[in-house]
Amino acid sequence: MERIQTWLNLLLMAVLTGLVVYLLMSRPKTAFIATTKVYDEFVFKKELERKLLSVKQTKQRMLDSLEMNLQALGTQLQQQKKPDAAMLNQFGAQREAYLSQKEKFEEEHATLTQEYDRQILAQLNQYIRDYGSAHHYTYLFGNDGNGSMMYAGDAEDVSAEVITYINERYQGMKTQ
Amino acid sequence: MKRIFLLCVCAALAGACSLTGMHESAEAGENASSTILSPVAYTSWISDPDNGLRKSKAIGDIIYDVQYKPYEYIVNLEAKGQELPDSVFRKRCNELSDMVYFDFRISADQSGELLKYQVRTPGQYYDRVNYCAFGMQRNLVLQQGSDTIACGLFHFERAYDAVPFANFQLGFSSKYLKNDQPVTLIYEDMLFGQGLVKFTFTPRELKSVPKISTL
Repeated sequence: MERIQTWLNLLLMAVLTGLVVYLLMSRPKTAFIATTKVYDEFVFKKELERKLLSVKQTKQRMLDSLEMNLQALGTQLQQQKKPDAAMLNQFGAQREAYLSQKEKFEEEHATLTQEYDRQILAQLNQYIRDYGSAHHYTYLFGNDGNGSMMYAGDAEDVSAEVITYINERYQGMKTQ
Repeated sequence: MKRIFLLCVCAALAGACSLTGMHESAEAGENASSTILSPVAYTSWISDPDNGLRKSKAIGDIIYDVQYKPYEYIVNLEAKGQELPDSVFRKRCNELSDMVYFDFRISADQSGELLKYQVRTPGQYYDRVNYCAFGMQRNLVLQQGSDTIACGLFHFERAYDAVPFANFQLGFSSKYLKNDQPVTLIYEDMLFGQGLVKFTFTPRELKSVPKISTL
């Protein structure tokens, strides 16, 4: 009789354990990330930001040089009582070239910024999806402070882990 | 109470067993360099992603795959899996040793020729062919610390519609490479505009390669 009781207890315990495991497994696994923080800490974003700045500075130096020449010519013209017609024409042509170059650089900068943003987001989104899949998340929310998520407990914040993961994935150290 | 205690002991034992297993698998990686494998087993080991010499990553629909090729692996492929006399094997390995070699593969989540993936005009297709054959070499480098090594050997294997991927054989001078630092293969993707694609190989991954049996 006592033996049957023991087996029944063990069976009950196994069923209860199974039930608890099932309930835990069937619950959706969720967490959130601070979107801006993750974006800012993404190494690829930092690299492209530096590259963009370097390109911008190079172009700015060229523009500054054109502007200086234009100013020098303008000063010379101002000092003349009766401005020389050839010099006036030269000033007009240089001014036109400066403005056209400035507009061209601004357009190129905007296109490059847009292209870099697209590349950063493509890789960032992919690695975050990989993180969610590798850690079996049902939902991974983004908290970008615009009111779409009004409250989340700190314990659910996986931003630090995600930052480490996406940067390792970007460097090609971690395979999924 | 006694039963609960027994259950706890069982759980603790199971946990300890799994920890021991993890420890053993970590040791197995470190001991790989002292293992001697047959040519066929060696090829399988090198191309197994779990051993760290083959890495891949997907960005959107595009999949990038890199295989680091030790000299022994290349010689083994040349010998078509046959065991070679040790002297012949060593001689050929030495001939290769002025470079480090990789196979780089790009594929897309579709069937058919990769270079036709989302192509809009015939002109764009021929631009891609031209880029893969002549321009892409400029966008591949090997980085170690602050040193950047240009791609010195580049070959695009054009396979038309026969396979849904593009394969590139790469070689970088080994003159300035140090054994104790990680190396990163970097590709600036101008084919599909995905930005920088990096693959890092740690010294541990590069060193823990098994030996191959010779005659």
